[in-house]
Amino acid sequence: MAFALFAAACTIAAVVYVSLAARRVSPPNAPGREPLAAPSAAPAQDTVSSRLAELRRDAHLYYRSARTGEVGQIVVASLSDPEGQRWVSPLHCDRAHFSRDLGVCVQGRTSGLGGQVDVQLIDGELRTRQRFEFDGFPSRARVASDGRFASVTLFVSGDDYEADFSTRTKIFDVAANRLLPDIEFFDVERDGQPFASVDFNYWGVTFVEGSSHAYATLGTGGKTHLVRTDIAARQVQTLREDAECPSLSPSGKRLAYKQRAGAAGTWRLHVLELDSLTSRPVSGEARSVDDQVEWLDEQRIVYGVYRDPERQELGADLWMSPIDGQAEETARLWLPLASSPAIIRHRATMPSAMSTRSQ
Amino acid sequence: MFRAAPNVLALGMTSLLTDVSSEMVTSILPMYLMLHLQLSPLGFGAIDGMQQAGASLLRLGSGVLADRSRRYRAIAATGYGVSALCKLGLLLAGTTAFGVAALTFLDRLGKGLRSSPRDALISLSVPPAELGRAFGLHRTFDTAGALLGPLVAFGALSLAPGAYDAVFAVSFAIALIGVGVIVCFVSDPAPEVTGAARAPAEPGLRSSIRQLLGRHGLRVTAAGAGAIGLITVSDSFIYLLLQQRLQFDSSYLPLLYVATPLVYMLLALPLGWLSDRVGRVRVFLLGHGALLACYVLLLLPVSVALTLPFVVLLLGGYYAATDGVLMALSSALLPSALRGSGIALVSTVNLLGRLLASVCFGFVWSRFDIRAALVGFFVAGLLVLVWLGVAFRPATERARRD
Repeated sequence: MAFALFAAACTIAAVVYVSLAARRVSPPNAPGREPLAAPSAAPAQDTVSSRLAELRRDAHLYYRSARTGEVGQIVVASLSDPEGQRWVSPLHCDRAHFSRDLGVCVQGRTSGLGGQVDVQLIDGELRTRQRFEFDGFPSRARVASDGRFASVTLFVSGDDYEADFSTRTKIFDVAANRLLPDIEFFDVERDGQPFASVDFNYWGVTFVEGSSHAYATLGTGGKTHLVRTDIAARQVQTLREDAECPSLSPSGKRLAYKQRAGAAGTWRLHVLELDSLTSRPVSGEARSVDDQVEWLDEQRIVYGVYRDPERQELGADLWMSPIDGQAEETARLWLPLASSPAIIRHRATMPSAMSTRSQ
Repeated sequence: MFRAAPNVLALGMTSLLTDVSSEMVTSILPMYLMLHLQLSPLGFGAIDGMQQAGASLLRLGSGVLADRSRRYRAIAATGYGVSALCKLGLLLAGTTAFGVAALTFLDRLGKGLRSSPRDALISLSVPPAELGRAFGLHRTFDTAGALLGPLVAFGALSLAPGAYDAVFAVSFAIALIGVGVIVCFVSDPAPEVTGAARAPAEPGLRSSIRQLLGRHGLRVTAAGAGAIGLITVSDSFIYLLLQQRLQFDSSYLPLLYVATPLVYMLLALPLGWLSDRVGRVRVFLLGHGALLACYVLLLLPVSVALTLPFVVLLLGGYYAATDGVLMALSSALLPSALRGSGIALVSTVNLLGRLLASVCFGFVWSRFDIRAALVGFFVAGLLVLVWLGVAFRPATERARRD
């Protein structure tokens, strides 16, 4: 009898807790979540094609919005006036990245016993061209600036019983219209010697324009390596240790990456000069940053920072920092309630593989 | 199939509830740490092996303590209680990576604390002829809980998306009910069963081990359990290998994680019953035969469609024929006064063997290749099985006559 009462009390408490939690998380417009910046006054009702085409004519950017009423939607905005000239697309993504004529949009959902990820390859008019489904949870998304390749990184939980988990990186050869074999099975060289281990994990790919080369992070044996890979030759070479989520600068001469800082789960941003292989911390940004950064130009980077890392539902802001901060030049808030930035500086000069091919 | 002892049913229920509670948390922990606390996967994986070794040593201590005090229920209930409190801890202090790591470790310690006294209690609650069935029934409940846990977690998360605290709260409530079951419905065996009435000896850790190792049957069983642990390829390796060798879509992987325990759950009781009828050693060796057959399947150039279902069946069957059966087999060799420590010794040796095997397998795999590792484990496995086939039977028969 006492047990029945006890069990009933526990059950009721659990049900009450879940329903309170459900009420707490369900209304996206709950008070206390007001965005810092009011939504743009610019009309968002224009016809899709004309508004988008107008913005794409000049330098522009794509980002994922976390503003009330458009949470998760991809916004296209003018680079010169991102707050004023913006268009909220109907596309919903958790992570996204774009080049001029190719985008990748990753959306996660919980399904059954785990997470499922919906990956869409998007064309310049924001139409879905191809759709893939994988198990896991969204982590990184990247496209090559020439539109030849796209890549996504997913978290996958491995053996449930041991609670360990890993990352899985998928690379799409957009030009050849196929998903490449897993990068985990590429041949790896470290200091000129073949390097193999069962626990290879890749994440955070960045592509070299006009080639089949890319940089990425390889995690193995508790360490991370910055690697360079030739996707066509299925080869991987390690460059240096302790560097994650590289991002190649527009000139292709610099890599920005995050390096693990003292405490677990904290990172500092660094920049590596590829010709001299010297690296230095981004002095303007002293906080921990966990993002694959985007280059605004050769001197400035843009990246997302959560308002409260322990309460990600509050959203992230985009911050901008010079890579060589003089004393007075530190990171500053660039765009509130935004993440997954992709900056398109100029018109493409080469025809994209994707837009010229009929699906 | 048989009339289950109330103690076994109640312990099964406690295990089911506790496993639902634990697996709820385990299944969401990766995303929670990754997406919510932003911990890197490597930082998390590194501490895992250390924790396992620590927990298995505690298992040995709690077995000895249970034999000394004969308070099996109290010690097991404490272990379940510690794990339940960890869920409350996650709810209150789970917002830092350090807090989560510390609580996971404490949870593992709770598991180490409760395993041996619980298994001793199961073995002391049924007549020797029914040991296989009793452990089979318990493992059925246990695995059912592990299967249900993730479902409950995702149920809670779909009602309250992103509210991980709700998962912790539900997990805590379920764990509490589990502790309630063991407190209200499980009773310690009568003194005449445990031998307490006759010999109120209180052996310490060292003298317990000396006494245990003095028994020929148990010596062989412990050595056999260790040796067989050494040739066991961890299922995470097998899944990784399937993926690599067959290059199949990773969406099959979660299916394997569900299908294998499902087979285990369905076969645990029938195989436990069979082990009571035809001999526990026979079923135990048969189970490892199934594991070796898995290795062969993985070496053969067979198509994906053919290999997968057989691997799942063999692997699930292997668990069903070995995990509970090993406990039944060792219980039958042990006097009741040494039940807890003896069971703890056998399972700890087996666990440490498996940990070492994983290290070896990983090493051979990365140093040479996967085929070499598999062939090596297969050949070693055959040798161990033949040795056990020869050594086990006389040892267990002699013990039965003692």
